[in-house]
Amino acid sequence: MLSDNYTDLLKYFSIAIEEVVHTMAGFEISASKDPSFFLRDDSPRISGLMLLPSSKNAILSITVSLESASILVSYMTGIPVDELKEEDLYDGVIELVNMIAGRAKSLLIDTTHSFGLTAPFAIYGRDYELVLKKNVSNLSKKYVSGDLEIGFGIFFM
Amino acid sequence: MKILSVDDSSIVRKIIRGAAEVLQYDLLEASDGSEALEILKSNAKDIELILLDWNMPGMNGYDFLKKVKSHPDYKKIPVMMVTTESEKENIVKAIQAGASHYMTKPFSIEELIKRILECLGKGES
Repeated sequence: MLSDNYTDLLKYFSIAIEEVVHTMAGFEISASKDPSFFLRDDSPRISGLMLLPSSKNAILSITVSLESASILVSYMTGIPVDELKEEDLYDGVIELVNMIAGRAKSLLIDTTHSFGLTAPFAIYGRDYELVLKKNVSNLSKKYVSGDLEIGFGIFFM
Repeated sequence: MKILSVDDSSIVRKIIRGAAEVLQYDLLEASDGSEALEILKSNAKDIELILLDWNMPGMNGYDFLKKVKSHPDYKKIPVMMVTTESEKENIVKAIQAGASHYMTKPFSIEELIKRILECLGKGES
């Protein structure tokens, strides 16, 4: 069970992800009522990740389908979906997780939470899941906007 | 008329390219400070603005900024930091090192265009 502190942390990360997606791609996303972190289907997906070093280290993750990544990156760059290359999608998701971490860090400046930023990276594949060991604390939510789905999670080490 | 974008994210450079095209500037791109220094060697006279990320592999933005601001041929080129680093001490550090403007990510294309115009002395401060 997470302490109130970590629940509070989720609030700031939620603000960060909503702000970043809206500012960069123009989408108003909202937390899905579906409590599952995982995407609806087993289509190819990209996860952007960043290690957040802190007194309690964590990994920040966002996961989107290839289709959602294409939509997001197209809106971010103004490049039509059919002109985007795969590396554009990986880089786009990586940059989104970079911005989310950076924005959350700035929102948390006057709180007791602080963490460093590290080099973000992405993994890509089909039908993979992030599997946690028992009792690993985590905060996770799914965000949606129309057909767009973003799985968001913070996993404490 | 040219703008130099220094960022390890090709997506950020693509976004900046969109803004540069709106403003009818050519965009030169580098993925880190070392690459940017090479570009400056043969293009410095034409570059009116450098948009600079902070955290990059290889030579990071801060180290690149210090080199640019200590070089007689480059030091007058205005530099705007475009970065996720938002802590006051980092902003102060960059300004003290010679950055004339600072913009944090995320940013809208409209904000980017507005800030570029300010850097070029063509917009409202």
